[in-house]
Amino acid sequence: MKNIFMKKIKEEILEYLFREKKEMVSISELKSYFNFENFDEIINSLVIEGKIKLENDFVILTDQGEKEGEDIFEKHEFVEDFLKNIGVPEDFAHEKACEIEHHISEDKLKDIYPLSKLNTGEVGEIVLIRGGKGLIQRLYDMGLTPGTEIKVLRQAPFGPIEISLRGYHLALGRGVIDRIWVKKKN
Amino acid sequence: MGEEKELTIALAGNANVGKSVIFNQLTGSHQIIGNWPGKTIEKREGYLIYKGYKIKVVDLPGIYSFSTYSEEELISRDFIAKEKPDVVINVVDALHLERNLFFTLQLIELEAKLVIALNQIDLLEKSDFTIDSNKLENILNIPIVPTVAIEGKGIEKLIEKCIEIYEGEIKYEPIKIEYGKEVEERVNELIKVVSFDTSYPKRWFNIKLLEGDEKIKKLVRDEKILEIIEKKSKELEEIHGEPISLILTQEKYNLSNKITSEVLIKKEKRVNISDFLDKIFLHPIFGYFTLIISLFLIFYLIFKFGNFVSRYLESFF
Ligand SMILES: Nc1nc2c(ncn2[C@@H]2O[C@H](COP(=O)(O)OP(=O)(O)OP(=O)(O)O)[C@@H](O)[C@H]2O)c(=O)[nH]1
Ligand SMILES: [Mg+2]
Repeated sequence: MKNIFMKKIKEEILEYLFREKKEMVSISELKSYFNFENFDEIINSLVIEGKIKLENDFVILTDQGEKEGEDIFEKHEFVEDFLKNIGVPEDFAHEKACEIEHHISEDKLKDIYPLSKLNTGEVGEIVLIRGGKGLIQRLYDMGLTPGTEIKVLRQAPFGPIEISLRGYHLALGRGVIDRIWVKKKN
Repeated sequence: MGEEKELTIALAGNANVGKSVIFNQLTGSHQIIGNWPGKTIEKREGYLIYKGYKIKVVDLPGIYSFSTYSEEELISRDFIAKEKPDVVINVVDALHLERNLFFTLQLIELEAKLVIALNQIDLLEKSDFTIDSNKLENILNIPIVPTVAIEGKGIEKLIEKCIEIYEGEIKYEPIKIEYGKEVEERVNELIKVVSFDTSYPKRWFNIKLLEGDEKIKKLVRDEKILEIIEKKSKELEEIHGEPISLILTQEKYNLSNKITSEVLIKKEKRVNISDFLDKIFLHPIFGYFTLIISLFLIFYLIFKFGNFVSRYLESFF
């Protein structure tokens, strides 16, 4: 757990430095921005990894550091756009993107649609469900958890759709199916 | 009389799995139908006398979880956790094992003493699957009785098992449901802090506190303890990036998926000759070919064989 956390913080720092590339960022600025206990330890290890340099109390990205910062930055933009496209409110999309960018590669975000876009007979894997905690809990209780494969069995225009998952059949109303995002399988 | 031992059994499970059919089989005409106190939901109780036991049977509403988004779920979980029936018969639909096991795991977590009725075995036999019920019994470490409720098959055995559990003749130690280290640590710390008595099982109660279950949280009056709970839930949500109740739901589904994949077996399709021929002759495209080929063969045989026969016959004249 701790290692993942460290990796995440380091990526955040590189991304921040990349965004602020035109400005000189001082170490005290960075420290107050991230406000993190073992900040010094993290900075040291970034220096050792050759991703940043310290010059007169300013933090400067090395070439390698800049490249990594740019990578993370692009992923963030991509994820944030994606989230906004599927209707996640802007500030929430930004916050979520900050989390997701560390875990996901771009090709994972391809072929993701709301369930209603799948045709009869097509299979998708649940990626995320949008909605209040109550709705999500109820769908999870019926087995619609992320990673679960679902197949569209039947659909009536404007009516409910029938899906199969975990060895059983379930009918879902129109109001719900556009909240379920799936990665289409070939 | 008066010598009879009295015990209470509840029937619990998903909707439409056969609870009421089993209830009727058990209680026959001794039924009382009313409402749950203060609720609009029907309560069905009945009793039976069996080998000197007077057994009260309660038919609970069909539900999928204890997340309490409905009255039925609340009634069921409070009845099981607080009234503590001596045994709960968990009726499981053999055709939809994975979803049903998810509920079984929740009953285990609620520390109900279970006997599983693996019902609708007749329909399972007609399907493409079979269930290794011995293996399932070993994994869950809970007695399992295969039943066909509508035919009364397995019902007596079910009662026998309930009595064995009640009498302590079977050691009841079901599978333990454990979560990741981060969750377990916090549950165990919380158990030490929340020391007041509730009629709910301790571990379950504290898990529900971490999940932020409103009904359960109301039972905690101490502001300090509420703060500790809040803090621990927050930590968990930060680690996982999702509400904790969702994480635990996923974990239980993962477990029921894993168990299902170990005990659900696809039947070997024996190649049945008539099925095979049906497939060839009734196929939308090949059907025509096979028709033409067979007609051709018939004509060919008639002419060849007919020729031979007529020549043979001619030789007599
Ligand atoms: N073939 C077959 N059908 C069964 C069996 N057990 C129950 N059924 C049928 O399954 C349906 C549901 O049975 P119920 O007993 O009403 O189910 P329940 O669990 O009480 O359902 P809820 O009260 O809605 O939760 C009925 O049509 C029964 O006839 C069985 O062993 N085999
Ligand atoms: Mg019923």
